[in-house]
Amino acid sequence: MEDASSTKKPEEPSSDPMRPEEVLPADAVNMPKEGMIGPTRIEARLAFSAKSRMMIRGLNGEQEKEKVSLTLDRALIEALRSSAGPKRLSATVNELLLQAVERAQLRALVEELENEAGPASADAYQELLDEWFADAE
Amino acid sequence: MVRRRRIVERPPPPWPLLVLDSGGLSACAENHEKARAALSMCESAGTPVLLPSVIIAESTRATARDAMVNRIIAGVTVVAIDHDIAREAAALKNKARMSGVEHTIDAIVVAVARLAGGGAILTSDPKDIAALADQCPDLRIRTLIV
Repeated sequence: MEDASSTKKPEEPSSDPMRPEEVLPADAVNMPKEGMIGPTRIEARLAFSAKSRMMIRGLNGEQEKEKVSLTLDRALIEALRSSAGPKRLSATVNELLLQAVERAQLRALVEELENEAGPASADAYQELLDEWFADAE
Repeated sequence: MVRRRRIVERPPPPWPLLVLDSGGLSACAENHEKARAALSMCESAGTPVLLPSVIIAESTRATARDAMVNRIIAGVTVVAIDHDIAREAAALKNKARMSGVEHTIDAIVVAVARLAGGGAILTSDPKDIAALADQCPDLRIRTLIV
């Protein structure tokens, strides 16, 4: 008689929404190449999308998690649940906090650099924009 | 040709993310004006600034002299080089017919930009980075030179 345990299928790896291969094609490959205002609009959408953030998180691999108890505004939680779904609440809050922390760190750095040398000139910004759009004209 | 209005203040970045290579990191650490402008644009819009972890190995010496570089590292998002990035870098390097350690690091930088969906790479040596980025025709990856 065959041992029941020997016929048991190995567990499928759980789907990880942070992995880049699962989120890349939708935004990256199917992205329209031209639009009314060109690459700016196309890429701004990526910059601010949760998917883009998730991709970066995915590149950093699985992070260790800790369960914590937080007291938040009920209306805020309901808004998050309705937009992210009840099962994605932790991941969504985690992602929003990560964005806030990273942005605060970058802001502190930029403030430090600007305190030392002043804000960049309009010419410096213009040069960067010209390089980015060099082949779009 | 599109005529653009001359900018008078900090504009939002048109790129979805910014990746630093060793030249880009170095320019940020030296507070180079164009590097400061790029970081400032990213900060204004919450655009991620990514630093592949291998660049830390390339650019620091684990001494007190790293202080200026370390403050940049603390302000940006360090991306650990995992299996997917390593494989992507290998493929890019092969397509661009490149070899050697220096090109491997450049390929990792471009691979990070590619797997994150495309964006700008702040670099002081755009030739090799651009050649690797050319291997990604499905995404917009461009160099910003410091």
